[in-house]
Amino acid sequence: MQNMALEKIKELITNNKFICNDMYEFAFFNRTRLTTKFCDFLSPDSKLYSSSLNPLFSFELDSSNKYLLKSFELISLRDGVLPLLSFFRRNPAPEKIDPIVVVDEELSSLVPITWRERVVLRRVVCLNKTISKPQNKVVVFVSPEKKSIPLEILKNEMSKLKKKIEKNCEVIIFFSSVNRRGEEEVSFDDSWRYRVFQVMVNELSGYNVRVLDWREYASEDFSGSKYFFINPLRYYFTDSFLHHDILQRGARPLFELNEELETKCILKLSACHGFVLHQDFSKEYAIDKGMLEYILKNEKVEKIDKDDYASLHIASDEFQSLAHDVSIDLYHKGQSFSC
Amino acid sequence: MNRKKVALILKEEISAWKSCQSITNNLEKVYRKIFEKNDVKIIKVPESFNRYNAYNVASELKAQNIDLIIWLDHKPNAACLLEALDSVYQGTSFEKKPKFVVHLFGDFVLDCLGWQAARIALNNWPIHFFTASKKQKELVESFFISERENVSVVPFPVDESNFYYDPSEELRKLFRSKSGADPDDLILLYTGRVSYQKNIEMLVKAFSTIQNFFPKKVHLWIAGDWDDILMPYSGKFGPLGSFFAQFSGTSEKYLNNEIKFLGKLDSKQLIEAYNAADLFVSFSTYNDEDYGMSPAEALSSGLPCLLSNWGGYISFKDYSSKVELIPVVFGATRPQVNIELARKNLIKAINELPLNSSERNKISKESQEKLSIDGVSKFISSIIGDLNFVSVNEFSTDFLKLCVLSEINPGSPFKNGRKLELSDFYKVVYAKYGS
Repeated sequence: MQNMALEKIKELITNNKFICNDMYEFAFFNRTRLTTKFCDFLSPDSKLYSSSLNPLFSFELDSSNKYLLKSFELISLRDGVLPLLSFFRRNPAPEKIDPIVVVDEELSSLVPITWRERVVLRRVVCLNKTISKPQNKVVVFVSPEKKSIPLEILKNEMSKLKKKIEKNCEVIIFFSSVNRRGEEEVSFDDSWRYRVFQVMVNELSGYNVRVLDWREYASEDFSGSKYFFINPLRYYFTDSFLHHDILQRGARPLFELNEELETKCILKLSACHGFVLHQDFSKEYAIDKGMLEYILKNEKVEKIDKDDYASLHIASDEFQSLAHDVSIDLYHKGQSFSC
Repeated sequence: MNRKKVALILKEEISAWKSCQSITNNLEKVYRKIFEKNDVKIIKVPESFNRYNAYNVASELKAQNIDLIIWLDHKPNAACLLEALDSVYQGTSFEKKPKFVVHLFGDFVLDCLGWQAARIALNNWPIHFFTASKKQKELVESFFISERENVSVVPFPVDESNFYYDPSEELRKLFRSKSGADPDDLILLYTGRVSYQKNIEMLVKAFSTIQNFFPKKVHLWIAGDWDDILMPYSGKFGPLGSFFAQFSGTSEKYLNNEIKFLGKLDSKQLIEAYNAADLFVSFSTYNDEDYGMSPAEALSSGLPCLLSNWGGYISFKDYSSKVELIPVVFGATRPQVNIELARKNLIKAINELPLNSSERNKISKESQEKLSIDGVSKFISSIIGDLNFVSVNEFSTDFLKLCVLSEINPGSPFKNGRKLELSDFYKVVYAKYGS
């Protein structure tokens, strides 16, 4: 039974049968204030990209219509640890008409046993190499947000980067997901961005460093260059627009795996990259169910604190703490890494 | 050149469009060459050029006594400066106002509201437009009505030091060996955006159905970035990866080892690729195909061309005897080349390949004479003294209709109701491009 979901996807890929689902458009154009705000917060990582897997964040589904999920045959959750845990909390076991759900393979241990038959895992792979001339530059993507990137972990990631690149390599930094989340109160400050930048500049002392804004990013030539995506905790998202964009534009990961792809189930997303899809659930379920039940008592997902100021969250404080600890735990167990 | 003070106006930022980057750089070189003995002032304006910036630039031009202003870039819209000039030079007679030359790019139609806003200034100012092709000239003239002709065709220049034919064939051998093609194989090359608007699916389909008709192995190389712009004019927008998804759905079955996507090439790789190839092919029917930097570069590198009979491509017939055109038909979603004629033309063109070294050298020299920086400099020098600098008296009904539709559907003026098809009005406006 477990492979049925994968077989179904293989069939769709082989027959080049794209699932045109009007509900995908519906979900996109009927986002609530909460989901719009949260997608804006995660932008440009959350920007839309095209795939027959119907890529969406789970919070885009739940907030607009409770039956929306069931109208899909297949859906790919772009979720990181927090939204994914929240999704499985609200949907502890699949119903008969629930879709096949595709999840990032690094988060396989967060998929409840009850769902594993219906869940397919994905990871991004590079396909054909183009003949673009190699450029001695590496693009570093980072979301300078407190929960996404604790400074110690950032330092750790930066030392991985430095070990891999030469001193004359140009390092281009693009800060993503830096939009405010609605916390317009003075207590929410932006200093974390500065601290992240400070750590990066210190760590990259002696390198030729350039910071790009969105416009510069859009017009930069990345063909033949390398990229390093710093999202080690995968706290908010796993499936970033930027990841697909940079690959489509001819860059390759700094830490590229050499793997045999011939026998794998691959969904091509561009001439240069795609997803490997599989159902290899070798990791045990990582969540303490007792703890989960305890903290979920009286959970209030959306909090609107004041008339003019809105503090938006997709989960309660307790749930966020749990998700953050799970992210850090996965990171330290080496189950999650940047590429 | 008897003009005393010339101002070249360029955009500060590098254009996101690869072809526009080359065009602006090359135009700047052209004018520096023409006005090498004159006082030339370069003014760079931001893409976000607003009325405040425009007023300051206009005041600076007045203070410097500039008497010829040349606008070189596609963005921002030159109309913004024109309005400010009209304000700053209020009270100055028509004859004493500095003459204004504007190089128009493909996005002229998209910018119609900017030009409409500058209606009064257009009525008052001595202006001359340069279009890159005859068809674009017809398009502009169908919108702007003037007492005397104030639109001339000036092709966008190609930098001959970057795009040339290498008679030693070293570049040809080098790129072929890198790309896994044998010396005797025939290579068809497309360069540019890999885009819905460029009819890449049709190119792949037409090629794959005729590639085995020849004794020699024939390859199709497609070089460039994938883009997902789709057809905004009809309201058809696509997120990242949408064109690849569409292409996979319709064309995967036609792909084989002889069809290769090379990715984006830098200018050094491009000249190698043009030299390595035997024929340049493009079936583009892009609405902004007012010219075609890729065919211009290909010709300059001595490559014969097989092109769609569309927009700016049609002018290349005037620059080389080795350009063939395939008729275009207007479909509901986009204009396309006639597939049967495309196949026939491909077969005919491939049967004439490869050209020998002297033939390729001839194509290169012939086209460079008219399209190189040197050639375009000489051409502009020969006409600039006699240009009519007259005001635009009126807009045509079609132009005003376009403006209304652009206000209703920003960016998609040719939307056909709720369908993702092009309206009949698109066929009215672009009929000239496909004739």
